[in-house]
Amino acid sequence: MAVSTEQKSFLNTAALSRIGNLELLSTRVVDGILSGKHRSTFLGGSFEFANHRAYTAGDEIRLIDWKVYARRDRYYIRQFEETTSLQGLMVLDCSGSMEFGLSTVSKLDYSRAACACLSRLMLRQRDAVGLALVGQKVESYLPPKGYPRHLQAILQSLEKTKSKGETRLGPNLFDLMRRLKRRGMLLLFTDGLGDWDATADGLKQARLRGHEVLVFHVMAPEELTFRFNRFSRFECLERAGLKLDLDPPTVRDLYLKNLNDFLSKVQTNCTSMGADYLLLSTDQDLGDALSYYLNRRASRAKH
Amino acid sequence: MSFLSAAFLWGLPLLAVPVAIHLLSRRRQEVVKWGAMQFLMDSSIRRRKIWRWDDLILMMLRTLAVLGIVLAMARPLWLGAGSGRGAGRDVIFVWDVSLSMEREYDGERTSFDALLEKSRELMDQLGPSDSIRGLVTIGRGKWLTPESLPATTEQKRQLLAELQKIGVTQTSADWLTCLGTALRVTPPRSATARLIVVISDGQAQGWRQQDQAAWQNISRLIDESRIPTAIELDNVIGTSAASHNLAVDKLSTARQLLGIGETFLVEAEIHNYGDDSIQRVTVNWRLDDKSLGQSHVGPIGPGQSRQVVLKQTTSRAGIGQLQCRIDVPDDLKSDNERTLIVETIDQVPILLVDDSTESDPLKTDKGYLLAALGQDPGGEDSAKTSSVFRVTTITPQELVTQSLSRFRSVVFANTPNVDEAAVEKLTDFVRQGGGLWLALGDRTQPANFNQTFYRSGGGLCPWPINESAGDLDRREEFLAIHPPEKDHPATILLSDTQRLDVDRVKVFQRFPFATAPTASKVPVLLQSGTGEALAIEGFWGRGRVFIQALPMGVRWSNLPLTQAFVPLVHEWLWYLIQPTAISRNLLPGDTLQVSLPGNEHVREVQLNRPQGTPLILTNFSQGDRAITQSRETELPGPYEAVLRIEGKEDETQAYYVARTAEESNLAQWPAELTAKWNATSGFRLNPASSLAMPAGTQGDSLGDPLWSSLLVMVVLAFLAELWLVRFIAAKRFGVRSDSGGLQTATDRLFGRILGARGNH
Repeated sequence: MAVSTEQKSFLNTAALSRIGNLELLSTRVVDGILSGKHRSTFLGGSFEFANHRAYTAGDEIRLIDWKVYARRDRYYIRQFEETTSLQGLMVLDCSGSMEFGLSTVSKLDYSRAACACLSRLMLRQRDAVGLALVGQKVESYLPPKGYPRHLQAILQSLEKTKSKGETRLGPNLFDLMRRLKRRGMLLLFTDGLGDWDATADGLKQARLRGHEVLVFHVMAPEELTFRFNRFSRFECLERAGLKLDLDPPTVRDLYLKNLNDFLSKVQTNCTSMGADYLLLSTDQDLGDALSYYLNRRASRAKH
Repeated sequence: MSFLSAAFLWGLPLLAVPVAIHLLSRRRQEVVKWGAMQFLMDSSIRRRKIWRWDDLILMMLRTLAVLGIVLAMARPLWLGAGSGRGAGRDVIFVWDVSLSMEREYDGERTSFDALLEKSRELMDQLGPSDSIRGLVTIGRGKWLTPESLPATTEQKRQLLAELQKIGVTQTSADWLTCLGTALRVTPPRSATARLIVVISDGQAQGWRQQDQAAWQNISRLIDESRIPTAIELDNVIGTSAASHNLAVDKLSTARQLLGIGETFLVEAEIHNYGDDSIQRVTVNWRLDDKSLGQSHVGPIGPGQSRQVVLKQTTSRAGIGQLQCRIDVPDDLKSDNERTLIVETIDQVPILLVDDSTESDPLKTDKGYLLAALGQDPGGEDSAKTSSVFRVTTITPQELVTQSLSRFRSVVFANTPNVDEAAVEKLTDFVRQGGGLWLALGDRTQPANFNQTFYRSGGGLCPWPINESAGDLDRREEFLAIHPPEKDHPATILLSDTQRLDVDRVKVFQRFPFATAPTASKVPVLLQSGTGEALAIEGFWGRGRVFIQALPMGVRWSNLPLTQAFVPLVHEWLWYLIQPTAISRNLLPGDTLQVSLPGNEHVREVQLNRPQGTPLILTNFSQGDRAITQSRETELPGPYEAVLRIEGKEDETQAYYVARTAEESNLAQWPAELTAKWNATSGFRLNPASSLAMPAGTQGDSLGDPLWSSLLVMVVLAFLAELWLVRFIAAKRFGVRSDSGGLQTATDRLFGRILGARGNH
């Protein structure tokens, strides 16, 4: 029953995605995700208990652990490991290749929807969330904030996003690492096309700085299957003037081989650096994709 | 290579359709804005971007299929190797089987042997792509096969066997008619040219050199022929060597029917067609198997004829074959004899119509007639006779009820008034060949006679009569009869005034004939010295009518008292009954008629001919006579009609179709005929290169039809295309032959064929 609700929700979100109302979209998706789960189970990420210390003058009385006082007859103060919210930065690849989408929405639109959903989700969990749109340079940067109204700024920024030309994701990641003062979570939405090695270097840098890295590898179904049958002209979305006249069936096998090599390489890089990797196809239900990811995150947190 | 329906070649531009589809299909490529370009930049992929071999082959197969269909509709014919001399010829051999082909010119070798040899030589030049047919010069031309057939070895062998089976006949070739027959037959559809090959001994006879209309007709037929046509003549003798030939040209008697015991004359004409004079010729006569003796004649110069007469008396009734034969060593032996059928009858039934009641036979008209016929003048006992004529006497009133079919002639000794029914009966009798002799006398009323027998020119008598002239009491006034001419068969004997005294006949009274203004020329048998007709002849149907202006008796003339009376009666009666006789001596093409016995049931009449299978003739009635007839008398020689009669033995009747005398003339082609032949378009005389294509033949010639092969090619091209499309579909769409993917595969397959291809 839940699945059908989510499918219906996805259908609606697809329509919403096309009309660009990210706020409504993210509301529907996040509510859809949370409505099927026990909230208390996933709210502990920001208030993790560390230890007790003896009460000293000046401490807030509300922090006294009265249960320990009852057992020891002395005042103890409860201390938490993180007293502040989680800081997450969503990095959206705005290269030309993200514009591709034939039978589904474009990879950029899909990523924008995912960003909007995650923003709302994280802000609802009182986490701070920021957004960086990266093309040739960092086109837009919203530092992580934890208050709910920050969501509006993120959504506005996403709605203005446009893909353009080639991207320099790797160097720009270095730039973004410098801007993040605290350790946090880096969520990268990219198709990985272009200079992946530079991107991988940037991600490594983020890991070295202690950030938790999540790579959402967004691909269109046509890119994953190459199901073209007619003689076609392929024009590059990133480099103007680059085009190839091909008979797709004759080169499909070679293409798929190259693609699979690439996907394997990206996944291997990510896992080797301790980053989470999730391959998303734009014909995949966004709610399913995000819930699948959150489940994985939760299971890892428990361990 | 040539085409029977070249107009379909206008469909060749359709070849552009598959090419256009191919090019448009390439131009209709879709543009994909693509991001993952880095996976396509592989060098091995870039090498494959230009050609799509499957589409190219598909286009070629489709072009091939369209080409095959267009060419098949144009119906091409392939000229095989080695057929430069002209395959596709429709060759008609016209073989001379006339009597002259029996001529011996080189020892024992005859012209017909040379003809066979030449035919084999020409046939060897023909191949299966040619068609062949044979015609022999019998009548208007007799085909040996019903249609043209491919000139295979077997067909050639069969044709020659048929020709040898026919061999030399006694016919005379009518070349222009036979050529017309050959030219009028429709050529086979595959034929490109027609060659009519005449193989003959070069005899001039039969070519009708002076018949300009017939020659122009042949030229017109050649010009109007659907395909180029030529007539080629091969003279198997090739020389105009001097001939030595003597022939019996003619054998005849004055009458076809003879009475038993009658003496008759047979006249034979011996003609020397050779170049040398013959001093003495012995003529052998035979009647059936019995020799009648010999006659001698001579000398006969070149081109001259001599008559030989045989006087013979018939001894028994029946049909006999009288043969005249000369024994001379000449080039053509078959014309050294001739046969004549002689029919002898033992009685001739005559019906005499007279109602005189005079007891003294010498005072009646019929009495003198009966006496002239050797019968009792009183008419009491007709069996007492020494003549073949058997006279039955009836009164005019009995004529209506009397059956006339058994009589050969009806005689009125003194024609009275006859009623209409009797006249109708007499008219039918004459129409079917019976003879009628009307002697006018004192019982004749001119007005009534003119009304019943003249009928304003539409009756049996060609002229009307006037009132009687002359006075019986003034016997010093009379008309003398002028001796008749020899030009009429009935008066040949009477014209001999040395032996007969017809010029002494005195006519005291007679009925003068009133010459009808519209009447055609009427033969006058007897006329007076003043030119007044006394006996005339009329014709009605097959029969003859004599109208005599005076009666048989002695009251109006002294004719019965003269010596000429008896011969006149006999000759005239024989003449009158001739049409009732069956003509047994025929010429080629004459109708052969068989008279059947009326009182017996004839099951079948079979006609045996000189060559060929016997014919079964159809019986039918003509008036009250049962006859059967045939026109299959083109071949000279003996014919035999076998009557199969119910309950009796078969009865055989002999006939003989005489050969044409001119066939014995072995004179070769004159220079004028050669000049005429050479001057006529499409005619070749003894060509150096036989069977060459006629002028105007399109291309070299046509050969074997190719369209069946082309249709096979089209089918193969379609099958190959289907297989290729399936292969392409399997490659592009991943179609499997398992049942699950069958529907999809089929859909895609047809989508592919129709060119409605999608990119996804």
